[in-house]
Amino acid sequence: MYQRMMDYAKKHGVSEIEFYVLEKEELEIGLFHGEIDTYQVSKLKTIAARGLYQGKMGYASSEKFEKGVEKKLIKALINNAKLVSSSDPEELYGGESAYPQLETFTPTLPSESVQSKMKRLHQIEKAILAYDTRIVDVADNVYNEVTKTVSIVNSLGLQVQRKSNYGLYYATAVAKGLEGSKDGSAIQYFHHTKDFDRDALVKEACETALSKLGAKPVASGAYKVLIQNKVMVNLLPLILQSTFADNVQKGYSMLGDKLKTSIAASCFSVIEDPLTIHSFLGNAFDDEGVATQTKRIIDRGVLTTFVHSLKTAKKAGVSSTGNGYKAGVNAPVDVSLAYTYVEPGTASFDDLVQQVGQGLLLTSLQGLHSGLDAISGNFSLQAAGFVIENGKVGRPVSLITVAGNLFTLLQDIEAVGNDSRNGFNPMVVSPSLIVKQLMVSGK
Amino acid sequence: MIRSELATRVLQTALRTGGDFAELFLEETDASNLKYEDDSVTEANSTIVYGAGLRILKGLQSVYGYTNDLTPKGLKQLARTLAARYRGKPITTVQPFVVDTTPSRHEFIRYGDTMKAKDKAKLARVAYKAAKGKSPLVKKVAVTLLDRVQRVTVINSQGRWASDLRVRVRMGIMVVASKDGVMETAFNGPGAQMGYEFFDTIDLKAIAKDTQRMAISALSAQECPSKTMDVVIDNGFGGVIFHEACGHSLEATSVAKGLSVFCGKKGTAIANPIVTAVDDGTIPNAWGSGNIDDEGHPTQRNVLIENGILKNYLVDAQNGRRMESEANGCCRRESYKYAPTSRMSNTFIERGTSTKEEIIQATKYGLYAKKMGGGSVNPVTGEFNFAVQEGYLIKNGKIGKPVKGATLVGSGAEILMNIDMIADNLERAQGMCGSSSGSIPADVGQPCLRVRNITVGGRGGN
Repeated sequence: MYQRMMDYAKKHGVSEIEFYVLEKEELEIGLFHGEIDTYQVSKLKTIAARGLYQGKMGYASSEKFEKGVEKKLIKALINNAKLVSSSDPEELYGGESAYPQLETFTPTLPSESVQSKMKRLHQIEKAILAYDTRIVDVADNVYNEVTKTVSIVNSLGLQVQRKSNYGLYYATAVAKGLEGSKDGSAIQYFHHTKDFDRDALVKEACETALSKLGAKPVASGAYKVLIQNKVMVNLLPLILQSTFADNVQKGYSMLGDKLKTSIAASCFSVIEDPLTIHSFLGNAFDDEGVATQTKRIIDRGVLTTFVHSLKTAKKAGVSSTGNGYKAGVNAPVDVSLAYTYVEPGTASFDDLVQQVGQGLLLTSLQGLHSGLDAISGNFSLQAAGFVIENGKVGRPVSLITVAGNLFTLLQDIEAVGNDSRNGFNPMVVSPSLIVKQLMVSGK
Repeated sequence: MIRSELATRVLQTALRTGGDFAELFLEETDASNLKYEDDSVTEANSTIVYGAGLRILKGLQSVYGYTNDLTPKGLKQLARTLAARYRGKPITTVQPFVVDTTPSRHEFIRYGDTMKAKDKAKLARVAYKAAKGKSPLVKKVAVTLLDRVQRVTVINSQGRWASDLRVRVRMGIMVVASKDGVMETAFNGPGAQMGYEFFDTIDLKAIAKDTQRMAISALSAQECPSKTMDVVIDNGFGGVIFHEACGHSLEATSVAKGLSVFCGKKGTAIANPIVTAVDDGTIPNAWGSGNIDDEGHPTQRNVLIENGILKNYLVDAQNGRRMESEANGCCRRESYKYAPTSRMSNTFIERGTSTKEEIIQATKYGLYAKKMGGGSVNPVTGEFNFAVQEGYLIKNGKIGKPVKGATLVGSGAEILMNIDMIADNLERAQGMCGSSSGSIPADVGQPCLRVRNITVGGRGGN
């Protein structure tokens, strides 16, 4: 089918064309009060096309696989290309001779029975409710399984495919105290069911909820802050946006003139590792077919590289770093990152708490999409956490805001822990770390 | 999109294991996006969203699935897979379809696909030029223009067959201003449930210039002090505070499961008596409106709070079973890829009797939030946060110096009680609301109002 479409495209003046096909199957099961209240299955195939028409890149995509839709897609692509007036040159990529083989798909996940998956949800619910008398409810208890196949073919001869899958359990426990309810969530991604640790999931959700009971604001002021790993993984992608070459080229990056200079404390390094040992999260090639590579983006505080797609690399006169990704199948290729982590230090979490002495442990930051400007790095965010007193974690804190600037924060990092983990996004991993000072607004 | 014989067969297959209700949602949406930066079109993209979602209810249980394989084979396969989750004999049959012929409340003239591409680019350029202006402080302007034509049909086993056409356009204008190594951004995003004729009804240049003004003014603004103070929130997008802090907690999605702070509060006072709040999906050509909701019920005007008393929740059919309440036309979804649930449409606080001037004058010390940014809320605890995009300190009843970086923090239940003055200048503004059934267009709105004692966070010390 693709050859026919390529021929049709060329006949209509599209000099090079690429098809990106995503096939996605998803299963979601939710349990509430002992009953399956969500059971969702889906099967979807989407085709996206991009092509060069008179040197301009046009994009179009469709979920409608009916007769004649290929032509509609190519016509739309041409119309879109005609609209583009930017003079930035664009190109497609013919591919590598070979790509590393990653084990991104396992047949064991889809082959396990739905009953077993449901049974585990019942077990999670029971375990959460039995954990502590103050745990009164389970707000979310969900299993999710995704299988994705991405195929990219183009008129330059590129022909690649990757099939990947993962499963996850996600649970939220609700604890009730004298002053109202608090919740705590936990998520675990895995490639093989045997790697799922139910007790750890239950413990994390329950302990998080319980620890928040009785939380109160602290006095306003400047605090030394220990940013918990789970919070740091949410800040990291926002910081790293400024290393994306498209943002640099468009003037949206405060790091635009900082290449090869120190932008962070020397204890802080960030590595993109698309060929990760957690191979189900790996990517041997990006969404343009360019082979990915492991690289130190920030090395002991020094910004060593911007990350590039084909388009930004061409503009900058360098090679693509294999960071051309689509935000969704229907989106154009932009710059983004694969599996990325902050290099762990040597201090344990308890060591970090001790090192802070007097200060604040931040376990939650809310409103990142509104209270934080990723361009300027300024933030003022709703936060929760714990007081740190005499080198120990003390009472819970809520309804405060912390304010600062991401780029100042990078310079102010005093220590990096060894307790690396991911958050809701399995592709970002960080340990907890100490920041010299943030402004807190409380009572 | 589908013949009635096939719809009947699919729904029958869905019900054959004891489901008591089955519903097909069919969608075809044409969407296009354009991005205008550096005085040129840098991106142009179009998408066809096409597929069907199938939902089967059995008591309080629900299964949902979707596919873009709309062949008889594909749809029946989906029905069989979902029906297999239940065990039992059929308890109901598919009723004969009655096609809903309610006329549309909305008039659409120039659809996205009838607009010439170069006219779209021209429109984006008008906004770009006005936002860029001549100021050397404006570093970047990015304009996005999107249009959507969504055609949906809802067919259910109780014989409902309802279709809707939703046409929307929206422009996003972002300005980045910079001085002495400091960058500030500002955004405006006017939109409507209209064709491109929408842009004849607004002063696009004025909106673009206002975006520029906000970004430049933030450059010289001082950091907002952090303390508890009275906050005067101006009209329009200020309504995001009610949307996030209270609206979400009134959706059956959280109420039915007993997870909302407003559970069991119907008929009781949850707000200051001057507060009346409404969710209205029927407003002609409003961004969040529809003729029917996404389970095929006609949309409604739902009074949520009247003179401080909680009157209604937003209820969809499935959660309505749990709550023993009727659905009230507010069940929405981003696309067929989401099971529908109760959501807001155009939600606003009604006019009060004060004027904005009176409210400012009556405030000895506080924050005037002229333009709100976004925010979020935890429905379990009711705790919320909102960014203030453009703010000023109020001293002795007068608006003073501009401040930036302010965040408002509190809890929904508390803030409703603490609204003590409401003006008469009700306005609505457009936003995208994200929740379990996806990202949907929603209007927020309110007149200028004052809330006593909110925790204000900022970098300007105490």
